[in-house]
Amino acid sequence: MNINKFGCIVAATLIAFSSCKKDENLTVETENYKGIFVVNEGGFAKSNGSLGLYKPGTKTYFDAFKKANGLPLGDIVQSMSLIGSNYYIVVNNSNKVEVVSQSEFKSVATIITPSPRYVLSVSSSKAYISNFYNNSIKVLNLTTKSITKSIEIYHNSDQMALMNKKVFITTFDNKLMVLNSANDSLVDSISTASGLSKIVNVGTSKLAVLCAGVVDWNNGSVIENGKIQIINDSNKVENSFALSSGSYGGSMVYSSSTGYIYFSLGNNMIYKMSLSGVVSEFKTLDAGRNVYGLTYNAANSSLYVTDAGDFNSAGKVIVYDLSGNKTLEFDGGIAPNAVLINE
Amino acid sequence: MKALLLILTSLFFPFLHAAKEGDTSIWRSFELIATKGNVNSGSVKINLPSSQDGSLADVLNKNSALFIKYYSPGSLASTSMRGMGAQHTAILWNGINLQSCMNSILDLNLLPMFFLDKASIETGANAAACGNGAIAGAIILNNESKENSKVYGEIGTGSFGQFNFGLGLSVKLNKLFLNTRILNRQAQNDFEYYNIFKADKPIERMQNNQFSQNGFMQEASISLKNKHFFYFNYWYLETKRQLPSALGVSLLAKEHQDDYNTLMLLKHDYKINSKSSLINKLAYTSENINYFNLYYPDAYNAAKSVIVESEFKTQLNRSFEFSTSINNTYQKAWTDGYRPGIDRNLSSVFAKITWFVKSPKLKISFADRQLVYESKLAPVTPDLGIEFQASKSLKIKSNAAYSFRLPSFNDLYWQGGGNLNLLPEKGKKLEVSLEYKLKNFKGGLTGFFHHVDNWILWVPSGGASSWKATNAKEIESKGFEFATEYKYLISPNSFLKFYGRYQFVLSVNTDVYGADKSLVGKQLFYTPKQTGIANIQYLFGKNRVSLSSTFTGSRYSTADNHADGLLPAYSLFNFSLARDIYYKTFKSSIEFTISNLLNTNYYVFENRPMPLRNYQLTYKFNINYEHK
Repeated sequence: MNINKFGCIVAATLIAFSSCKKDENLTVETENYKGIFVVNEGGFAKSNGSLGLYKPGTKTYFDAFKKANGLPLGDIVQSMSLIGSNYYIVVNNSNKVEVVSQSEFKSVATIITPSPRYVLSVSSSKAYISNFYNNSIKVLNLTTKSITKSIEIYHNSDQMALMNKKVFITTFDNKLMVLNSANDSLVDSISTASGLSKIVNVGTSKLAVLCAGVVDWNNGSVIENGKIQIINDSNKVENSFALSSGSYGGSMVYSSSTGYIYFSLGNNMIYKMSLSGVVSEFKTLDAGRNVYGLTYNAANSSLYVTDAGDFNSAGKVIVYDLSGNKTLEFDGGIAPNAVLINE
Repeated sequence: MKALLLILTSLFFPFLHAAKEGDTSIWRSFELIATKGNVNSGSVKINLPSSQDGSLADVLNKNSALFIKYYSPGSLASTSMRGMGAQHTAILWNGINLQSCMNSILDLNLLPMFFLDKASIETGANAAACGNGAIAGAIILNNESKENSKVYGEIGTGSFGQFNFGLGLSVKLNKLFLNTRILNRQAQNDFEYYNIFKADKPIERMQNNQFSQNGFMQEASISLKNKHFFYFNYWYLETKRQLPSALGVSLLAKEHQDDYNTLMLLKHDYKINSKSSLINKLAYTSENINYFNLYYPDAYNAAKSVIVESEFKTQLNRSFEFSTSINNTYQKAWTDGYRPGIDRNLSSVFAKITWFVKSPKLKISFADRQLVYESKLAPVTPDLGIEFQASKSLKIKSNAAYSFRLPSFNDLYWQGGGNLNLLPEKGKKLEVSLEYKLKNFKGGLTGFFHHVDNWILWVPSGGASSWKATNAKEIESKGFEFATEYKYLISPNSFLKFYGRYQFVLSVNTDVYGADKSLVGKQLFYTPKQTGIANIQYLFGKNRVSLSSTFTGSRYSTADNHADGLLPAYSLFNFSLARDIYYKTFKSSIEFTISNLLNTNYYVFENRPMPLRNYQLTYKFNINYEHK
């Protein structure tokens, strides 16, 4: 073998190892961005959170934010709210809220704020942003898309509910903090049962909070069962209904058409509870499935269940009517926690 | 550009052989496919080039077909061997397994090559020879310093603040040999990358990614009456590094981690007579991993091991060789998951008999290790190896074996998820290799099949907020590995050397223990089916030119092999020029390296950008002050 042949062999081998694909360009097609939006948290610190859109008509699913903007969204996509003609997508561990237009899903603003969790509209020009690692609520000017004020509430904050111009904020310390949304002042705090997890409006003058109880982290055994508590307009716990088990957290929604609270403690069981505290089983998911999030859509009286699976594969969205019949099931992204319907 | 470069490379080499001086290069002769010294009978041993800079992870990354998983230069690095996890590769340091009892893995970026004399890979090495954890194979690290008096060292600098300094002094005093090494490695690692999370993908600089390491090593050995050989080796490493976030993640947490590692070995090699020997080892390892970030409380984790081993080897007659050993390993660890501390004792007995047949030339060995832990018997590990010299050039090898991995302390005891009912992972495998050697050419082809049951994973348990270590699944891994090397002599003082390695592996879930079977048949995530390396060197006189290419195939970032999580394949080219400088007993070399020559934008992990083109300049020296 002469040296030129040898060189050719080497070159051929190196070329064989050198083949690599070019980045695929995203093709932006005409899209009306109507369907079922899926909020996919993604894996923690992996930045693979996404905002997907399922089109029931074509039974197709795609990453809506990436398609519209050509960019991935970020790390831990926590929530999405429709306020006016914009969606506010909270990307918790990217410290930002992406504001996109409802019609084209194009980014119109990016609001930088530490560890945001939820955005709640409190008036036509103002919204509140809760914070996971910050003891304050940020006041957002919906016109300028800028944060104008910070309200000290002395606790990290999570979900929020608006009732009669008061905002009730869940914390991780079993306290509901109450703000007057007219003057952005802290007006009250309400002690709840252990494991305060979720809050939901029940009609116009009551709220329900899901307190998941206490679980021993060492062995997973339940130390204290959970409760669902009803909060009235006087900032008082009006009723407290004990649950038959406890958990690390859970999900809860309310249907005004049936008058039931639907909740889960994170396993494969979904219960319904009347406002008088009578609990019955609503649905048991297939073995191996767990409820990671619940969303209620009043327009079609359906319950949307998200299952995060192993948090490293596409999660599931399963839709039930209020009789417990499964009407739809499709794959979402990584760790879906909620849906938002725009049809 | 790539094609042009390769054509130029292949045309360039023939005109470079105007060497005039003898081949007395400081570069140690490098043999890719080892012909002896296998840990396991019937498997192919691949040497790594010595005299390399950086960490073991750096060298594996540039010179092997193993997929090295790391987030960024200097960050936690582990390997996937034969499509399996980092916890399935034993890391043997002078025969001592360094896999942590906390999580069964060892960070390959912690081990500096300057402290090592020889490193090799033995895919398929088994539990019988290596003990707990060797399901996929082993990385073998040894100190084999030559006993002469010298001062040696290296100093290097490079892009994004890379700096490394190593200095060694060895002294031969009659029968006593002392060898001391110190090192310092540091890097800002503030390399540029394309930020795909921003419009127009601007080039930005990596933040929170500094690395620094200081180390000390002391070897001592003494030979008495040619019968007793005492050897002592001590390492201390202090590594501090920031932990960069994935793209899109807030930088506010400012994560960083400090590692403190101690390795110590005392060995007594007693030559009983011409046929028998007794080797006694006492080893101590400790690791402290301290993790900090601004959001959560600091985490302090520590583990220690004491290993005592005694091995007896004897040549029974011309046909049979027998060896046996006993090993006791005591492990203790303290973490936030089990703050009071957990300990366990692993005791094992090993025996191996080897039969040498003259005609046909055949070597058959059978080995087994039985390990006892916490009054329980670990799975048996019978190991049958056959080597058949079919012709002068061709050797056929085969190995069939069982192996196992005990659950780590974290798997068993971590508060909130540890599972005391975990079973050991059980592995079995079959492999067949052909080794062909003809003059300056060597090639090795291995087909393998592995089956692992009771694979331990942390999975959501009874709700999303609760995770638990579980014997979650069964996997099969099958494929082939190919290695080749060729040396072409151009003139008495110049030659070309080529070596390459390629691996193809299908590593899939064959069963998942749960109601959801959707992951059955899926390739394990972050497990490329194809990996390879090709390297060509031209050595002429005191000069060396080297071009290498590594290839990493596409791989999924999600367990369900979703198309959205498919990370693209990438190829990287590295180019280096080196020259030796000699004066009497003073030998030195200077090397200039361009890494990622083609400025490829690539990701090992999703959303973790890697450095674009970068440069290194290294100067090494070796002064023998003992004249023969």
